Amino acid sequence: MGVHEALAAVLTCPASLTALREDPERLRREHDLTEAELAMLVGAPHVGYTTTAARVRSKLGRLVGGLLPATTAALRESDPALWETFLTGTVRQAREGERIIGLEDAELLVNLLAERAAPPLASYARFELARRRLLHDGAAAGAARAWAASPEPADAAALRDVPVAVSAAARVAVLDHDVTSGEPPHRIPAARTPMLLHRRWGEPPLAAYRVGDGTLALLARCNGRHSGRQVAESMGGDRRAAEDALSRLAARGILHAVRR
Amino acid sequence: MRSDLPYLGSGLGYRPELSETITRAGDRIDWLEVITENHLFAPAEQREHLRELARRFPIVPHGVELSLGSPREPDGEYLRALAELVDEVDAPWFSDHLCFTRTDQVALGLLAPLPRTRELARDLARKAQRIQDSVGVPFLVENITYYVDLATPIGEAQFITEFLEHCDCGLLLDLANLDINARNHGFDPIGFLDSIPVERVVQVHLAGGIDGRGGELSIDSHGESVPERVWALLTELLARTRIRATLVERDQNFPDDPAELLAEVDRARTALLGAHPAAAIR
Repeated sequence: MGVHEALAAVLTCPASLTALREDPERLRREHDLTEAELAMLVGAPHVGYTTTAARVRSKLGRLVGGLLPATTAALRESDPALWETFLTGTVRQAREGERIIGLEDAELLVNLLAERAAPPLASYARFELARRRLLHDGAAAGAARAWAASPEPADAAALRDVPVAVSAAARVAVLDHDVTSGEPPHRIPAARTPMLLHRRWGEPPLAAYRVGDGTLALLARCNGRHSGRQVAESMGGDRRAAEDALSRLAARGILHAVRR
Repeated sequence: MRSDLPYLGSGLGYRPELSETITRAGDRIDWLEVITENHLFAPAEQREHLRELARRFPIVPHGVELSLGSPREPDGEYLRALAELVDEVDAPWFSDHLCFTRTDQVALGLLAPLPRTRELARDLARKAQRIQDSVGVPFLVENITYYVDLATPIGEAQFITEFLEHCDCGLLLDLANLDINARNHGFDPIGFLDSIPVERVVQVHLAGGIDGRGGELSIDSHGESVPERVWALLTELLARTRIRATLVERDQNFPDDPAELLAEVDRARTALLGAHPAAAIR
């Protein structure tokens, strides 16, 4: 309610801008404006509204483009109409306590792409958003920094009898397309692709590894309740190979021993 | 307003694209302004990088999302984080805009003009004072570029004056915004300077925009070199008051040759020192 909301509506909703020109009384009722407030809005030259509305869309594009640069570049090239649909159809909500400005709007784009874009681009967008979220995750940064400051022993013996857990610096994303193919995001080939994302302390701050199903299963068992030995045994097959894999992951800071 | 604010000289807006220029030509840049929101809740390495910069340059956080003009009070967590940032880089002041960027419903992501009334100016002055008191260093409030020229009871100069009369915050006068607003809305920028309490101007912004053609409005793009009109406004301002800092802003269309930006920083410094030779004595 009020003149701020009315102005915001006029700048983000074409129907409200039309109402301001053609039926200002409706705008007054919808936003509970005084006559003086309505007069402020009605008395402003129309070109100011259209110029500002275009800039609101442009700012949204720059904001989301900054968070998902590869996705948005590919979308603008491969399906500019859908990009325009996003910009004209998205009204950013005021979110209490929003810390990474635009991240939720980036997610709106990812959801739109899941519904309406070519599957390769939708898949790549999920991947890029997952990377962005991890990059800005405070717990992940803290874990990466702590590990860089004092890496824990990672040999199999050190992990054998203590519970092991996946670090807060690591995430798994299973994608339907091969984001590692090197093709442009809208042309990546279909292939089930499990990815391990790892927040690091240093350059680059984020690493992404394509992993096999064995590693995926191993990571899923590292839940902080089972020891390295139990995890390795639960994998069946070659226990030594499983222990070596645990060591390699721990040496990179992706797994750690849980100290009680 | 405090009279003991330090003289910072001629600065450049820090942007990642300018990082190399700033590293290489740091001796030609007196201070840096950083976008507050890029650092408040940023990845930890970014904060560490900022601390490194602060060891080399005076740093001033410049916000774009405080939304001083929103009807509700500012987010307490934002203010706590801002105070922490200011303390961490030992900023002499911080700044944001006299505008709103969000309502209860909508985040515009853009500096939107206020329904200028004397009552609102006084309310916002009280709010700005509370913010300044809570952060602990002077709060400079900046004039925006506005394209929607609301038919308000008072003009922008009167609104700013009323605001400043009811708090002891400073003014960050964006001369590019003043130039663009004057041309878009048909007023005399010199008359504007004569109408506001120029002695409250602590810092100015200098930037270039896109000139409107064929009925289009001129746009504040921060993507062009500072036009002569804006330099002329700086001269006019310096003839009226002594300021503590100038800042060249560039957000896009970064020149291939950094010499262009550095020349603007040099020119601003020359103007500052030419107008008030003793200004640099801290």
